[in-house]
Parts: sequence; C-alpha cells; structure tokens
Amino acid sequence: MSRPALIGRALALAVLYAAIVAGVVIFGQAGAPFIYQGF
Amino acid sequence: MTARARVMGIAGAIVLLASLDALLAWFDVFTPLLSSTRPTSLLASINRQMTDVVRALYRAPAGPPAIVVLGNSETEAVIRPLPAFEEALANAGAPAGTHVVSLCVFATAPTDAEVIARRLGPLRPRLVVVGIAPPDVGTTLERARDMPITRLLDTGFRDGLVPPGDVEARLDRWVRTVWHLYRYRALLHDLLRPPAERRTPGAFLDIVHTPAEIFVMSYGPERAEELLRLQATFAASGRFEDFARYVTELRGPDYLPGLRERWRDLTPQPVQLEALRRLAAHARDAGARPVWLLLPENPLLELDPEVGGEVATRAAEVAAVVRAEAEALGVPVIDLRTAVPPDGFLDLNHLVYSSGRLLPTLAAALAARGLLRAEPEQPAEEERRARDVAGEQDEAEREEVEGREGAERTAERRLFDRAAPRAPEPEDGEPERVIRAPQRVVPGDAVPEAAGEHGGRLSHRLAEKGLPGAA
Repeated sequence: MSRPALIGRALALAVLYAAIVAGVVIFGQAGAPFIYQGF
Repeated sequence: MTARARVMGIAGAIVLLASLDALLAWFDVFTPLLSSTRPTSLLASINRQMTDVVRALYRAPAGPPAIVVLGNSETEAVIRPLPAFEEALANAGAPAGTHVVSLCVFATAPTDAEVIARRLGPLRPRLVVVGIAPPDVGTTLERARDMPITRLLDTGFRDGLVPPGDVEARLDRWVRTVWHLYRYRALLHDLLRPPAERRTPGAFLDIVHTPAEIFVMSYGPERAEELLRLQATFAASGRFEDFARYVTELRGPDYLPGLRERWRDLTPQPVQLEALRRLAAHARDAGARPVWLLLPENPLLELDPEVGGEVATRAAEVAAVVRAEAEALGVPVIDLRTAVPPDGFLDLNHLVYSSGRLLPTLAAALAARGLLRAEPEQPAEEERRARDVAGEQDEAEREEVEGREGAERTAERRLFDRAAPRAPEPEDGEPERVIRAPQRVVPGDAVPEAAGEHGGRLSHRLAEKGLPGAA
C-alpha cells in the first residue's frame, strides 16, 4: 500500500472508530437521570 | 486492510476523542446546539437545566457581578421570570444591568448545589442565593446519591459529601471526572436528538404567565380545561380530596405519594447541613456573599391526611436548624415561608411558575439587608470565622477541581480570592468530617407578610377562608 493510501485509510478508520465510541457513549445510555420522588 | 492502518486508525481515534474532550472542557459547545424551544417533561427539563448550568459556568455574564441562584424546582418557581426579577432588583437598588443566573435544577438537594458551587469562580457573582425547603434539608444520603447533579456531573475523585454507593458507582464517578464526553452524554443526547414531546418556546419562561396560560402551553387546551375545572372544584369545596384530585391530574399519580414520602419522618440531615456550610464557603471563595432563602410553604399541605399533622412541626424544626447554621456562618437568611397564601401555589410545594409574585418582596428583602450594594463587602470577622469552620475539607475538593480545569481559570479565580481570606489548608490524611453547629432557635428576620394573611397559625388562616381544618 502506498504511503498516501495508508494515511488516508488510517484517517478514515480514526474517524470511524472515534464516531463509534462517541455514538455509543452518547446514544447507548439507558435509564432516567434520577429516581422520581414527588418533586 | 493492513494491521498498520488499523493501529494508526486507533491511535488517530484516540487523538480525535482527546481533542473533542479538550473542546468540551474549554469551549461552550452546548449553546450552538440549543434548540429554540424547551422541553416540558420532567426528565428532559432536568437535562436541559443541567445543560444551562454547564453553559453558565464557562464564563461570567456581561454587566456588573451577577446574582446566582441555586436550588431546585421550588426555588426556580420563586425566581422566574428572570427578566422580571432583574427589573425588581434594579428597582430595589441593584446596579443597572445586574443579571440573575439561575443554576437551579429540578429534583436536587443542597448536596447537588454544593457540587455546582465548587465551580462558581468564573461567574464572579455578587450574591449566591440558595433556596431551601424542609424536604431538601431532610434528603438522606441514600437519596442524595440518586439526584441529577450527583449522578451525572463532575463530583471529583474524592468521595465528597456523597460517597458512591458501590464499586460501579465509584468507577462511573471517576470516568466522568476525567472524560467530558462521558460526563455530558445525557446532555448531548438530548441536544442532538431532542425527546419527542410537547415543547414550549424558549422565551416562555421569561414572561409572566397566568396558570391558565401555563396549562395550555404545557399540556394542551383539553387537559388545561380539565385542570382548571378541577381547580375550580377545589375552590368551591375547600376539601383536600378535591385538591388531591387536581394535583394528581397536574403532576401525575407519583407526585403526592412522593411528596408525602419526603415529609414523612423528615429530620434535618447532617449531610445536607454540611452541604449548606460548604455552599457558603464556595460562595465566599468565588468572591460573593451567600444568602439563604427559606422558601414559601403551602399551608394546604397541613391538611394532608397522611403527613399534614407533622408538617408545621417539622418545617419549624428545619427552619430553626437552618437559622442556627446561618447565624454561626454569618449568612443572611430571608424567610419567605409564610409569604404566599394557598392561591399563589401551583401545587403543594411550588409557586405558580413564572408568576413573578414574590419578586418585588424578594428584591426588597435583599436590599433591606444591604446585599444589593454596588461595592462588594469585605467579609466581616464573623464570616472569617465561618470560613474557618466550613471550609476545610471543602477547600481540598475545590483545589482538585481547579487543578483539573486548568491554569487560566485558576488564575482568574485567585484574582478574586485576594478580596477574601482563605480557609486553612487541610492536613494530609484528614478524614472527611461533618461539623455540627449549635442547633438552637435564633431570632427571626421574616420578610414582611406579602400576602397579609399569614401572621397567625394555619388554623386561623383557614378559618378566614372558611376551609376545613380551621380552629
């Protein structure tokens, strides 16, 4: 693989991996932020 | 795909995520993402309020030093609409352009407010007003763990006043302390994908509204009509059962049982009293004067068949303890407990939202205590003593926060700290401790009756209105 192709592929992977992590962190959460107690 | 490309991709992803975290730490990325409308459900509103808190703590508002308000929904109901509050403050003698910054978050206790208050330095406030209701002071450690700020925002590596309940909670706390993306995940979630629900215009909270307008905006015309009908039924009968029906329709079936649960066996909790002490110390560290606000109490709650008989006694006990703490710390107390008659309340513990009913009274009370003067006061000798009492462990946590938030903010804050003496540094290995202040009744400085009918006991007030329960 040529150097530019390697860098391009690594960059694409970096964005993909970072997006996956960020997506799972932000959208993978579950549950209410607190327990309701008649507020 | 080569292994080398994958390794470089992982490394690049780590760099990208670290850059995103630096962005979240240093810049307000929330404001550009804000919707022009606000949510109406409780949980989404809490997330929106936490977003507003995070946004507010990035920098001070323009104009003279601001008045910061901390508390939960009951405090929020007193201080809205903020423009009307600012106008009332200006009329009472506050410097022109003084802003009010609400850091109130629904369903929180003083232990949550204490976490927020550790970061008040960049706001450079003049006053830090904390709204206090008896159930807030009665919030147990176990319940405090489940409250929004403690559960979601940055509580630091140390145990603080509310230690995590188990290993998982401790790990969660550590991760959100160092990783902003994780810490703000719920807030970013709602910004990027707002919950599908009825929403109100963003400026709705900035204008005085009648209950009917609020009902229509929040629940739609049909439900608003039903709520108004139930309200009228209660007004005609005066029976608590009718009010319970109205409030259950308004707030849902969990409201009344939840409120009763918070009043049942209510006793002042040492952890919340310590949070109030630390709140006072944090305010002074930020160059502000702390003020405690005893929030209006709805006399109708005393008619509740399950907890009504205990309400007056327990509320008085909490007020006495808070006043004693305030005296020991040199914190001014504004007592609004009896300032509003039942018709000023939306339910059993909140004023009618955005009514602005108490704002002139509150502004006048602040002015009467000399708290609106343009020049910040030098802390009096008693305040120095109070800092010595309340600031020790608190100082260690504040330093930890500052260390993480970077040199620039720390430098900015220390510039302000010069005006106020610092509490002594904690000794190494000093255990977390709760300091007990003398618990005795001190002379009151209640706000003059805004309603003109709260001078006597509840039974007399009820007799005047011809309601059941009158003496």
